[in-house]
Order: sequence, then C-alpha cells, then structure tokens
Amino acid sequence: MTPARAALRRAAIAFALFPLIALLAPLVAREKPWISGRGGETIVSAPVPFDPDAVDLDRRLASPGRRHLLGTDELGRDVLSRALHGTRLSVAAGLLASALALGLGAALGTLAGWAGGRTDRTVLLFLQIVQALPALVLVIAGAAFLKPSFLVAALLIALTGWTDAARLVRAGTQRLKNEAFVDAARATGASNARLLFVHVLPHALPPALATLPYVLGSAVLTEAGLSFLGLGAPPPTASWGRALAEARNLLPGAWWCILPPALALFFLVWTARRLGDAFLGRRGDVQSRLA
Amino acid sequence: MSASPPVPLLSVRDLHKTFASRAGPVTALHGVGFDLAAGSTLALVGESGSGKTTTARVVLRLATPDRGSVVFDGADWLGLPARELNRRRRDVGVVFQDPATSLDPRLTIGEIVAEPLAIHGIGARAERRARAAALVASVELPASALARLPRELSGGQRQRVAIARALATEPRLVVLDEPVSALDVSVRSQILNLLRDLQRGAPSRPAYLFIGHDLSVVRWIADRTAVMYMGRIVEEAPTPVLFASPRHPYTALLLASRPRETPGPRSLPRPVLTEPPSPVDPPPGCPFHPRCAFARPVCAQEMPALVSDPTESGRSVACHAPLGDD
Repeated sequence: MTPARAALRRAAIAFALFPLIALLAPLVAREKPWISGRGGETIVSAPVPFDPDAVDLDRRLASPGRRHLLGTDELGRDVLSRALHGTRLSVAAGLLASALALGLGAALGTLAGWAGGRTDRTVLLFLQIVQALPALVLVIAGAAFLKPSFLVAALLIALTGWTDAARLVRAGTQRLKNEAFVDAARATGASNARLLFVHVLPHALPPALATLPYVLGSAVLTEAGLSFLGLGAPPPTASWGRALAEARNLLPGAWWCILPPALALFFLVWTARRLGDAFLGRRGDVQSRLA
Repeated sequence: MSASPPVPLLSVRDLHKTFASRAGPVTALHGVGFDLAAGSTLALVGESGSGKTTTARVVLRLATPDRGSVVFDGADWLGLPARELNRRRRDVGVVFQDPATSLDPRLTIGEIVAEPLAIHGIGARAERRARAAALVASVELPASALARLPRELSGGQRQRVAIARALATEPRLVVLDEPVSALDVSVRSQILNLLRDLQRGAPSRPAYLFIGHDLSVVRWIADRTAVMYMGRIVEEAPTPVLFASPRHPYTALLLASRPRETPGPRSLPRPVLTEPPSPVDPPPGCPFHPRCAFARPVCAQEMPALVSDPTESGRSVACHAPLGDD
C-alpha cells in the first residue's frame, strides 16, 4: 500500500467514527437497560444509562464522577449522553447539506459547462452573486424567517455552499466536451445524455466529490452556529451548538458542560478536513500518473 | 444507353468556414469541394492550417460550415435534424490522430469497441460482446486486450482499437484524420497495411477520407489525392498521376521537399519550402504566389479557379501557370 493510500485509509477510519457514534448513540446512551429481569430489574445496563433528555433536578450541574462520567448540565441532564446524541444531528446535517450542495453544484456546473453561451453566463452570474453574499448572514436571515428545523437548516446551508462544486464541475465539463474521445462518440451518433453520463461526468465529478469532506466540515460548523443562535433544530433535540449556547453562562464554573460538545465539534470538522486532504493527495497522485 | 458516371458516396461542394481569432477572422475553408466514390480512398493533404482537418470535421458534422453542401449517401448531410443525423451516423466511422486522447481512459477496450453498437442498439449485450471480440481480432489484437484499459496498451495497439471501433457498425465511410501521424515510424506501415486490408476485406467496403500531411503515407493508401493550400484544393488527381507529374507548383514543391528514399543527383535544385503567409492576412490573388517560383503578374491579382485538366481526364488544377504547360 502506498503512503498516500495508507493516509487516506487512516483519515477515512478516523472520520467514520462519527457516523458510527451517531448510529450507535441510541443504543449506547439510554436509560432502558440492555437486558432486564422479569421484574424489571436491570441486569445489564447501557454503558451510558441516561436518556439525553432526562431531566434530574436533584442532580443539577453535577461535576464529572462515577455516576455521570462527564457531569450534568443545569437541568441535570447527562452531558455525555447529550454529546453522543448530538453527534446524530451534526453528522446528519453535515451529510445532508453537503450532499445537497454537491448535487446542486454538479447540476448547475454541468448545465453551464455543457450548454455554454448565454446559459453559462447566466449560471456564472448567479454563482458570483451567491459567492459575493455573506453566506452566514443569509443563512441566519433565512432561518429566522422560516420555522426552525433540521431540514430548513440543511437546505439553507446547501443553497449557499454549492458554488465551489459548480465551478469545478463546470471547468471539467468545458474541458471534456471537446476531448477527442467525446468527439469520437459524438461522431458515432451518441446522444447528449450518453455523452454526458458515459463520457463527461465520470471524469468531471470526482474532483468535486473530493471536496465533499470540506463542504461537510463547514456545513457542520454552520449548523452548530445556527443551533447556537436557536435557529437550528428545535429543543429538545440534543445539539452541540445549543449545548454550547446553554453552557455559555455557566463558565467558568461548569467547564464540563462546554468541553465535550466543543471538542466533539472540533474533532468532527478536523477529521473531515483531514479526509479531504488525503483525498486530494491521492488524486494528485493519480493525475500525475496519467499525465 | 450511355454510361452515366456513378453517383459518389460523398459529395462536398463549396465549403466556406471562417473562424474568429484574436488577430481577426481566419478563413479556414475557401470553397472546398470534392467527390468520394464508394469503396475508394481520397486523401486530403496539405500543411497544417490548410483546412484539411476542418474539412474532415465538417464531414463528421463536428463543425458547421458558413456555407456549402455535403451530400452523403443521397442525403443532405448538413440539413439533417439531430435525431436523424445521429441515426445515420451509423454509416460513418472515425479515427482521430492521437489514440491517447481518442479513447475514453475509463472504459475497457471491449466497452470502447462495442460502444457504436450500443449507441445504435445493434444486438443484445452478449452479441455485442461477441462482435467486439471479433473486431478486436480483426485488427490483430489478442483477445486479452478486451479487458484492458487504453493506458495499458501501446500507441499502435490503441490506434488498432480506434480502427476497430470505427468499423464496428460496418460504415460506408471512414474518416481517417492523420491516423498514423502520432505513431512511431516503425508501426506506421503496419497500421496503413491494416487499414488497406480492412477496406478490401470488409463486406461493407468502406470508403476512406484520409487526412494527412505526409505524402509518402498518402501514396501508399489513396486512390485519389487532393492537395490543399490555405483553405482551397489546388490540385486533385489519381494518386499515381499526381506523384508522377504534379501540375501545381505547390504540389511539386511538396513532392520535392520529401526526404528522398535514394540520395543521388537531382535534376533540379532542391526548393526551399518557406513558411506559409499569415492566414489572417492572406495575400491577394493566388495565396501561393509569394512562394511560387513560376508566379506571373496575374497570380497576384486573381485567384485561379479549380478546373479540370483538358489534356488529362481525372485531374483538376487551380493555377494560372501549371507545370508542363509551355
């Protein structure tokens, strides 16, 4: 295995931990025991035996200890359980928003690059306008007008995040549409759909796909920002961004409330970007071999 | 009953094409016309910029001329609507110059060769696979090549793949755009022989429109040769006739500037092929006159028309002072 391949593998495994945690969170962090006796007594409890939303007013702001490994917040909810469940929102928002952004960017980039002329100029103008607008302000304004929800947040993030993918796919399509192998298929009678889907997009999409981890990273951050401002998924959904907002007033006392979601956010974005870098490194490798 | 001349498979008339360039409009084609009989080979030769590749692209309908007509197999080729055109493109094959770029690097050789069949819906998948195997064998590649990617093959092997693809639908016309120019000299003659054998052996007896700049290559493969200069055909004749007695001074110059097979005494001092004039600002009259040793005053004023040679059938020349006219 080449060093670049090994680096890609490591980066992919590190990143994959987060979707894995997101998938397993409801199993790992729940009050309901894994195995209970006939009388309802607990035989094997879940590793984190607290529901994320379970309020326990007798144990507010408990510091990390044997019962609550990472302590509790001001409503007495288990911080670890909430951090684990918060992964679900961040990962889902990141994946959905970046997939939507990529899909939209690829569609518009292909259209512009393939059609050329006036269509190309129109798409390019649209793209430049979106790039010139302050994306975060736009997303916040949009989220403030619409009913806060997970879907709205993902959609708004996608609507501002498609431009880089569009530029990459447009450039690739422009370069490819006059390649000799495309001309050969065209002269043989291939339809536009065949030219695009068989000969152009398989070459034009991968560079844009390689940017997916970066788009995902910034989508995760934007979603956390929206949640921080109360414009993301509404309570009681566990969310890192809202956890940060709630813990803000507790500093410097209850540091255990703020560190887990902050570190989780940081590591998710970091591993995503590392995966992107590994991708690009490998792609560079392939391209230099083809050149 | 009089024997009427057979209707040509491909009939090109009066093609004009001007490109916009940074330096101004460039006239690539300036009234190009020729006929290609079914099953025969016509070569278009000339320096780069003479318009031969643009002519090929017009015939393939990859470029649109400003004016002129192309009749292929009885159809107004330039007037065909897209759907009908794509259907009839089954009768046309193409081989481009550089097989490193004319084969999709992502597809296997088997997929590439079978693609024209897939496009035209010929046969079921299994039949197409069998046909691709037969085609690959017909261009003398091993069956193991079918599963390979283009980059795993040599240049000559790749060009064989391109030829197999061009012949897949048993076309009546194959456009060969400098098919051996990008290849090693050692494999050129193999590819040319293959092309010739396939033309004779194929049941569809395809006609070849062969674009080239190397006269020694053309001599080997073409029945007729047309010499192009700055967007015009200046001389067209059966290949042996053209090589034996060129009448246009430019043809003579091209022939004389070939590397000679047998060095020895020459009757004429070797001419120097100078750079052609700028295509953005062509000289008035015959565009060849600034380089022509036989130019007369009229050559700087009037473009000579391409006319049939009255003394020889089958030859046309566009010159005020053709060679051999004393």
